[in-house]
Amino acid sequence: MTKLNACKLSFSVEGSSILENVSLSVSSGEWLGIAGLNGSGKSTLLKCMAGLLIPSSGQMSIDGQPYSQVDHIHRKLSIMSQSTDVLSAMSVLDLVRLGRYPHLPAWSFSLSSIDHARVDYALDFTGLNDFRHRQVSTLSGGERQRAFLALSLAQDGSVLLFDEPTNHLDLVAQIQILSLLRRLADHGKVVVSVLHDLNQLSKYCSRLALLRDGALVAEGLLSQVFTSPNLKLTFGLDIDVVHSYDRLCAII
Amino acid sequence: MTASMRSVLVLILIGSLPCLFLASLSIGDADVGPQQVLNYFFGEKISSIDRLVIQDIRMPRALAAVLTGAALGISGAMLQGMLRNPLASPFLLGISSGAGVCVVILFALNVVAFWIPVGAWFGAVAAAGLVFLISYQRQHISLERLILAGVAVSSVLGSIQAIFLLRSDDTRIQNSLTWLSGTLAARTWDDLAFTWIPIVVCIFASLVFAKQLNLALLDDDTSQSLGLSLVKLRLMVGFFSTILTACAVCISGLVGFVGLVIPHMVRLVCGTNFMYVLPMSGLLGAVVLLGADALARTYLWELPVGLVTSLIGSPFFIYLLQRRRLRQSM
Repeated sequence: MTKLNACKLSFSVEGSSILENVSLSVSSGEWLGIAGLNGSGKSTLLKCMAGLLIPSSGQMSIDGQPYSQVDHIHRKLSIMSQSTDVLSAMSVLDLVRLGRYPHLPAWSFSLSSIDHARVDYALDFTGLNDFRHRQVSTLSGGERQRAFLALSLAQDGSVLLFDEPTNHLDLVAQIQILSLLRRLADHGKVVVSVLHDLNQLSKYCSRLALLRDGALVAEGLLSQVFTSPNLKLTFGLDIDVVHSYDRLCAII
Repeated sequence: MTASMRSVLVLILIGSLPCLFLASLSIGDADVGPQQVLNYFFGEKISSIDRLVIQDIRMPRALAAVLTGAALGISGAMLQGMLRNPLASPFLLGISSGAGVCVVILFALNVVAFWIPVGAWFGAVAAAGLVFLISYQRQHISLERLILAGVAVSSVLGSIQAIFLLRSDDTRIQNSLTWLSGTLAARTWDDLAFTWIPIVVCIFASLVFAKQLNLALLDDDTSQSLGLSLVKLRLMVGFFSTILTACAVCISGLVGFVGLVIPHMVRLVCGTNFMYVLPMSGLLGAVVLLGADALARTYLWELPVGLVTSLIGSPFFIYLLQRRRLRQSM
């Protein structure tokens, strides 16, 4: 059981505040969706959660331990950023193998049988077995996104963070990726993602954090947070929330 | 390319290095051929003049080619990976212009020849240091700033170099241009005395960065989440590639092409994994420069080796690119 905690996180650059006093938590089996307008601090929050940015104040902890005191933090957390570009002609297999690097001893340059098994599992889970020798640059957007998801999976962390994982994808590819993430949460991973589509958030996520101007509007279980007043405060729009087929839907 | 084909290619390259080395010792103006060279190595009788030619004239030159080629090949491969830029070469960070301006000034001041490589080394290191200093900001080195700082520093130093060249007499201009084109002519053991140890140490130290350079092929966020420290990598790769290039420049002047194109050639054959790309770039760099220098000496008059590498290597590289395009379109 893993629990990720953000405690009173603030982040500023050259006096300009990006995040203010953000606190939230998410546990194994949960999928936390983060939503808000552009520039509201979603990606910054995600990078703080990934340990890529050090907050100006407040702290991130995993299972009660601050990040700075956790050994091999890169074996526990992985982030899939918006960019899925790689330099030069790398194969899918080589890309996914990079996910095992945090597990290699400092002076080791080759993967063990455990590493190879984990890479095979990641390729199998994302349906990329037949693509393993294809160059990443020749993949479609959706396939490429799955290749990077396989890289995160090979890392074998208990916390998986995704910055707009459905960006630039067609509807089918979006649903493929989101279904894979849902399966990961069901397998006991902590999943956190920035998403823009409110109906995708309501369909797939179990928790929701709404951000406006770097501050939390609301955070908690989806059923409690996904309300018209909260969405109005977040986006400044009148959005109706209705129950349909046992889930919440947003109607703009 | 399969692992077995890759192994065959590595074996061919490894085998061609001593063959070319022997060929290099057998080529030159003096009438000392392969038989005398083999006699020298097998300890058989050989005249003192033949021994002098092989041991003190051709051997330091051949070793200079091997060291320079390996240093530039590995340095180029590291910088292309670290800068995530296929156009990066060891001379991108102002190293060539730093070395060039110092050498042209020293020639203009008629300084003793001993100080020329020393000046080149310090010029190269100082220019690269300045580029890194400019690009270091808030505990971060941005690739964009690094490349732009390299271009700006190179531009300023290139202008100073041109001013000194324009004010020099013909002999000094010719000496400067020969050096700027890259030459291995008349290299002696003294030219290698202070450079071979740092080159060998830096080559082995560079191989340690293969894993990190593989991660650097990804975007910054993903690579950092996999445990890569970008600032540390950029500083360390910058340091080792600068020392390698400065030592190569110190030996042979500005030999172009090798640092830019050799890593590309290696990647076309071996893929992107730096665990293969780094040693293979060093090996191929040494083989190519040794071959180019042997060729430069067989011409009617001796050409600077830097010109030979560019004239022959670039068309071959274009052929490789075309072949890859054809294969991808099928």
